[in-house]
Amino acid sequence: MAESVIQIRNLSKIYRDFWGRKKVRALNSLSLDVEKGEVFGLLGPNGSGKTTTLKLLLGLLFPTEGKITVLGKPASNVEKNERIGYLPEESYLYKFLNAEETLNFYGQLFKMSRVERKKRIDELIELVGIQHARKRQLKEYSKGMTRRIGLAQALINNPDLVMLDEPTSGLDPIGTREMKDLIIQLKEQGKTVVMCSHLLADVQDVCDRIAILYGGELKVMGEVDQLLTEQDETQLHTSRLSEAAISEIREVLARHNAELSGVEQPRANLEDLFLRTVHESKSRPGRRFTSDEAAQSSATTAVETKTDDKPSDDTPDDKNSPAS
Amino acid sequence: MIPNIQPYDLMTGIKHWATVVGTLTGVFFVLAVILVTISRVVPLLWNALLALFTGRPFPEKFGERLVEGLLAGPVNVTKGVWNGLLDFALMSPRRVWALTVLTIRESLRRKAFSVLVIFAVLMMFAGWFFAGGDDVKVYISFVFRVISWPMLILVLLLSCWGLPRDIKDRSLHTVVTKPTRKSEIVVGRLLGYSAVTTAAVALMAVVGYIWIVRQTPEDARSQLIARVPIYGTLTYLDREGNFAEKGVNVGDEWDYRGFIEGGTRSRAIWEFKNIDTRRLNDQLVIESNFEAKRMHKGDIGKTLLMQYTLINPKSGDRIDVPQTHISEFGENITTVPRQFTFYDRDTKQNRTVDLFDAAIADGNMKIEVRCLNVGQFLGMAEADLFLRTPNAPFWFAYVKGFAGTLLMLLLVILFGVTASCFTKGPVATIATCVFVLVRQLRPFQEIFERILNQKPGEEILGGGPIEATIRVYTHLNPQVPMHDHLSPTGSESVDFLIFKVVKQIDGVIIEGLRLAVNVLPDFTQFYTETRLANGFDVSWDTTLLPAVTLTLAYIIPCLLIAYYSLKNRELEAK
Ligand SMILES: Nc1ncnc2c1ncn2[C@@H]1O[C@H](COP(=O)(O)OP(=O)(O)OP(=O)(O)O)[C@@H](O)[C@H]1O
Ligand SMILES: [Mg+2]
Repeated sequence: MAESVIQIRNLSKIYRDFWGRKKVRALNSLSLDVEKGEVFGLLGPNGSGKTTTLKLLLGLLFPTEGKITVLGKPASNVEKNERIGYLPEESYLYKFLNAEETLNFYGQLFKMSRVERKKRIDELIELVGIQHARKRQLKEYSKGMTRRIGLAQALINNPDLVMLDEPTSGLDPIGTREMKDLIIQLKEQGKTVVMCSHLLADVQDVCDRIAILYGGELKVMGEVDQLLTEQDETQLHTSRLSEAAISEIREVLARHNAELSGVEQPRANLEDLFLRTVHESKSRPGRRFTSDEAAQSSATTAVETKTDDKPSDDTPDDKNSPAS
Repeated sequence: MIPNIQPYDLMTGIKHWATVVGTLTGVFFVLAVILVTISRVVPLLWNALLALFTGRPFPEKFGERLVEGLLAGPVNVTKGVWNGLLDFALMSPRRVWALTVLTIRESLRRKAFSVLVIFAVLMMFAGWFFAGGDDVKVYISFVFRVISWPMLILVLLLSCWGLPRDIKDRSLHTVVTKPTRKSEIVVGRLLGYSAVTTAAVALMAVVGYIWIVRQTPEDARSQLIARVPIYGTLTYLDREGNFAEKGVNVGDEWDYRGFIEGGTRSRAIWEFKNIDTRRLNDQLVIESNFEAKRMHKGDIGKTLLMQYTLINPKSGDRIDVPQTHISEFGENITTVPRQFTFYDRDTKQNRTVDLFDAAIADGNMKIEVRCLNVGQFLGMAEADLFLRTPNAPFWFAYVKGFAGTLLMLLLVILFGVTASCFTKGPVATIATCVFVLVRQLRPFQEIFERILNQKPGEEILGGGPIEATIRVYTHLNPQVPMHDHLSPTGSESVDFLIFKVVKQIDGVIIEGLRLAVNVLPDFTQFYTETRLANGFDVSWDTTLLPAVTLTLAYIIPCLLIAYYSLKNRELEAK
């Protein structure tokens, strides 16, 4: 097995008030390992302890009980931070700095030459797409822009371990897609990523393994592929079929003791539509789509994309009950 | 205020500092060890006890955990101290610089320099208000106040609110998830605020200087001087000619000055040490400022008459300077040329001498002052007579005066940042104000004075706090010894034991109080401008050095307190 980047053993966290009285038990006996090079997703409803876990890993909170090792060091060790990048749930940045100043400031906190820092800043501003606002103070930024600079800040040191707390919150669909691509890219570079998210589709796309927390307790943990494979269903994708063809298929299935549970025309998801619209707007500025046109263009592309459509959205494709 | 005129003894200061800081560190260390031990051992023992009496399962591995708990105190605290020192030793200049610049930026973007606007407005009104006056002293004091007061407020706001706001906005969180050390955060803040403060003070001081010079009428410009005095130590001879530490008290409630009686053998004698004759410019300029106390009208048309005699302490040679009428409301300046002819009373003839050889031996000299009017009194304190050397440039003294003000502001920053590491803005502000002010407040001064002057082991009338309380409740007169008359148990030996214990505890409490008072800063050390306003240079060894030392003394303790507060604080949970 690969080496563990994060080890959590028996971790509990109780939030106390000023007088030391118990307020909330946010985490209860959590144990988990994150291995080098994987993308690990922490899931769970609001208030289930995801952010608390990340903050404990970063030493922003002190555990009530249990042990944490990050990159082989205890959470309170600051030197390990040289190799960590963290994107907080909300961007906790200095609002009076502009994008360049922000990145320069955080860059200075790492061992990095001035030249390297400058280069890195330009790269990151480019990467997160805020070139047009690089000289504007962060207090003027929109939520998504703030998230973007927050991400740039997290990557300033080219970290080996990246912790992302709801990386896609506040981002537009393009941003979300770019974020997902980026996470996959990080993984390809051999980095370890830990992320929390509510957007299950996103998690499913990028995560190798996930853990689901509920009420501060670990409920499920495992590889995404394994957890999600429906053992008793099979799915077929075909080109458009006539009514006759479908009824023939029904007969074939009946012979195999299986049942056709649904026949549908696939629909592109909203994400695809949105992405396409924005791309076209970029290449043909000034043009406006009516809903008819949009539908039409979606129809044409639907055919093309049918084969590589990801089963990740909530508009299901044809589903067939397989024979056992 | 009585000025410091004797050079500050750095060694004594350092020793005092080491004693106070060392004792405090020891006390904190022991307390920390006790606390850690209690937190580890007490729950364990409690569970064991419960197990014995209620039949709940006995704690597993009890012996092992007990030993571990007992060791945890000393081991963990020592480790903590070591880590703290390491954190400071491993500070990175690059990160400190980044944090300093950030602090400066933050101060500027939060409009710290609006203090300049307040200053400008005040200066404008002052221009009209003071127009035409020729009392330079007023101008100088005004400029120092108009700069230091708004700056004090600014410095309090910046230093006490900066870090708490950083924590509240959670912007500090992102910083600490980088490889930033807590020590770097503290030092960065300190340097940043210090830089902003220094820049603001420098700017205002320059404007203030120009204002003072322009405001002073042409004919009063000569008052803008920085006299450079050489001070001696003062003793007296009484009317019979015997040595006396103090002069006569003529009934002033303020016994700052001692008096000598005219027409008797009463004398005031200043002893000068280490006079560097090269600084004297081939003459001896003696300046004095005495208080005349007329016991009878005398010759109302003339002021009192006095005489200086220069004495060579080695040879005992006496050189009489001609008698002078003193100015009863101002300075007397007597210039004696180096080649000096005088009437020698012993040989009864005129003698010409080289003063620097005849009166000064190895840099030492005495000046004896007598009053020549029978039945009249002349009052003087140590600072009232000095030798003058050529004046220092006024602007330079002015800069040094502002160095004192700046040091005061820096110390307030240090306190503010330290306080803000463990509390929120408002509390930090109040704590800083209290810490700065307590020793300056009249009602406390007397108590502090008594505590500081109490020698260890010395009897106090009526006893220490606990004994005094017992006495109050048992209606026991402070004069009677407690163990004889207090019989709570009826047994004499037990009473005596109680008495002994109470005395011991009182002794510890008083020592604790003394330590506490010693920790409070004496801000009068920073009032450098009074010297300047009175036309003196701000000298390094008497005036500036104590101020520098005072500020430096707090750096290490405050840094440590700030570091440990920040380190042991869970930034996220508020
Ligand atoms: N500073 C705090 N003080 C007291 N309780 C807190 C604090 N921060 C979080 N909690 C509590 O701890 C629990 C876990 O919170 P946490 O922020 O970890 O949840 P989360 O899983 O990140 O939720 P979300 O999906 O909303 O981000 C919640 O019950 C929350 O109320
Ligand atoms: Mg959260």
